[in-house]
Amino acid sequence: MTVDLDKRLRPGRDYYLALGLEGSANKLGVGIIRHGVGEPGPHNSAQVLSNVRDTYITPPGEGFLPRDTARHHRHWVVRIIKRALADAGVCGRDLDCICFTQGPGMGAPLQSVVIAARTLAQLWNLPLVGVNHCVGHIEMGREITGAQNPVVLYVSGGNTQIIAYSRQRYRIFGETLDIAIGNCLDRFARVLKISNDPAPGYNIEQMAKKGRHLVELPYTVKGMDISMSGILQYVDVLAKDMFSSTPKKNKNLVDQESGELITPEDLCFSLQESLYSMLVEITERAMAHVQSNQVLIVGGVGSNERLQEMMELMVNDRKNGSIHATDERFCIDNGIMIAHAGLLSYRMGQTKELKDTVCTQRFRTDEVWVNWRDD
Amino acid sequence: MTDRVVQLVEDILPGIPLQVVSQGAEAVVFRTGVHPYTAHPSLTNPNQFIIKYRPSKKYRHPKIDASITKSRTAGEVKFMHRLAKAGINAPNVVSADFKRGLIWMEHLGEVLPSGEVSSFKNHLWSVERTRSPDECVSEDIQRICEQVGQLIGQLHHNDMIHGDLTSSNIVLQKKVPYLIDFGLSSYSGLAEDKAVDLYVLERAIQSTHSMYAYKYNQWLLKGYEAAYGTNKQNRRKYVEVMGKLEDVRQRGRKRSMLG
Amino acid sequence: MASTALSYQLEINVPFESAKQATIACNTLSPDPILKKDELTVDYTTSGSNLICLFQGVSDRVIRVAISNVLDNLKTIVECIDEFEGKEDHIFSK
Repeated sequence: MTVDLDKRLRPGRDYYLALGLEGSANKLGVGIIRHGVGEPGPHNSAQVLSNVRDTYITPPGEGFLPRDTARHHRHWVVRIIKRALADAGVCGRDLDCICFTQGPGMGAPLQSVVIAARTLAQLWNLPLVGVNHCVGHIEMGREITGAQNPVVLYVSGGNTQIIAYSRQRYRIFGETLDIAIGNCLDRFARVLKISNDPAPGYNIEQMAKKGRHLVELPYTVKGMDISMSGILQYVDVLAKDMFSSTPKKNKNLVDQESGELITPEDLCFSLQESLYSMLVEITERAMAHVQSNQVLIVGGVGSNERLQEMMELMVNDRKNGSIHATDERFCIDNGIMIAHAGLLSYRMGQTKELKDTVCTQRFRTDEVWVNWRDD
Repeated sequence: MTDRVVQLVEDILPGIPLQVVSQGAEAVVFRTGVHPYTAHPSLTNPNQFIIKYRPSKKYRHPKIDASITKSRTAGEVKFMHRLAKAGINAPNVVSADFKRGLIWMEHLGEVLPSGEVSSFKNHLWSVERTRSPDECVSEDIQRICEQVGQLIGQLHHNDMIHGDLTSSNIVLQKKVPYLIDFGLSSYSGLAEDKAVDLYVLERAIQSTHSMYAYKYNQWLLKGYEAAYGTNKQNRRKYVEVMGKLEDVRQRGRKRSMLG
Repeated sequence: MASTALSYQLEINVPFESAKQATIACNTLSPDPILKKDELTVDYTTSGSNLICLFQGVSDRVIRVAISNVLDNLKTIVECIDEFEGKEDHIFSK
């Protein structure tokens, strides 16, 4: 059985174009993608015609709230769509469909963007395609890196999952038992008053490079699942004592060997070392379990260089191991991945009536029928 | 399998013939014909032994690495000792070196026609691959599933938590299941911890054996229940774990997944 | 369907340039469900080139919150219409 992806090809054309809209968290993204007719693959790769993004950035110590994030998206969405169309040099009539993130994500921001998608689809008489955000990351990652059938580590603000494909589903093998990795980093940054510009995780990474002493933090791996709330609680206490007048009273704030005081940089360093060790460990567990030797890292935290470096060290010790990661254009939330995964769905006939375009905050990766793959 | 890891073990154990059986996530497992201190071991299989080696992980900070290697190796050996005392099917420990992450133990299982170890996973996969759908849910498979459930029930009855239950961490010897891999094990009498242990297995079955997961999980739980017997107090414990299991499942489904 | 408990009512009438625009707005707003149906209902209909939003709630407070949300969405819809209607063939400049 092979999948026929060309049932919807317009007469007289040998390609498809899709516009994708993403706004499930604090990034608003719009992208336009082009697929050539026929089976996708290295010889027939998708073309990114435009990929525009605007991030809602909050002051240090503050997270992004759904209402304010939705306001940001509403404020920018039409302008970003116009810019994406302009960058691509494409007009509405050339598009095959409009794809939007249907979930998972924050309710209000998702809803603010689907309003634009519905209006535009009616104005230009185009079908709508609802896309699972996580599947968007996975398909874009596969497309960009050429990884055929990898174990996927999906790490972002709201997600921490180990995923592998089997029988037309992306199945979740492991995940966080409490909070997501990005959420953990964001909250850690808030405790230490680290700037949110351009992103808390990025700033933690820069500070970690200056860290010298390792503070041992709780390390919780359960099978292929992990737990991170313990680390956060532990760091909360440390940070409070660190900013007090007598930090030396807490013996955990003094490095055992050198007697030096633990700095915020040391904490960033320790946090990264512990968290990423846990992530790499469960990834390796999943690889051993499904007997795969490829890893694909997707999601915003996937752009962290230390995580990529550790993953590479792990993979190098496995037979024929290979690691695949994308740069920040694709691993940070964006519209192009929604366009790409949406266009695959569209080509398989998965479009939505307006009444079925309601967004959902909870939308598990394994709910999606991946009928464009049949391996 | 990288030569680096094999080289490391050969340096620690010079002159011991080693054959790689599998590379798990955190350990490499070797087969050997040599027993470290006797020619007449009191084991079911007196001619073959398993050496499990936890190599240092280059990706981990040395401090984290040393602490994990030592605590998991020691934890695993102590757990296996407790299992032996409780009479729960698992390999016997022969010898260990905690700091270097080395455990010498009893050899269990056979080699399947596919050349793979007779783990519960490989057994199910080989049946799924080579037999008819009916045979995938045969009485024989049902019996194995129920025995696996019973084994886990015994474990939990002793307030022991495996911590990493998957179909790869159960080995079949003449189609009788044995538990292996106790690096993430712990001790707890809490129904919550037992429920998480079961939930991890349930999810592993769903993702690894999707086609027949519903049946397999049903049988596993049937065996699990049987292990608690009919004693009133034990029944109460069983009911409590099942209640928690439902809570844990709900949590899994409801966990908000913000993009 | 008006329920006796939903005793507070408000109707807003939004004029568009054409019946088509009003229908698009109505279709765009209609799918999203109201979470607490026993506290609030919102019905969207059109009449000629007007969009009619009927709010019925248990208090004026819940109606106020709902209206604010609808107005926010209407802003996006109107902006979309202004920028994109009839421009299927238009290549936007950078």
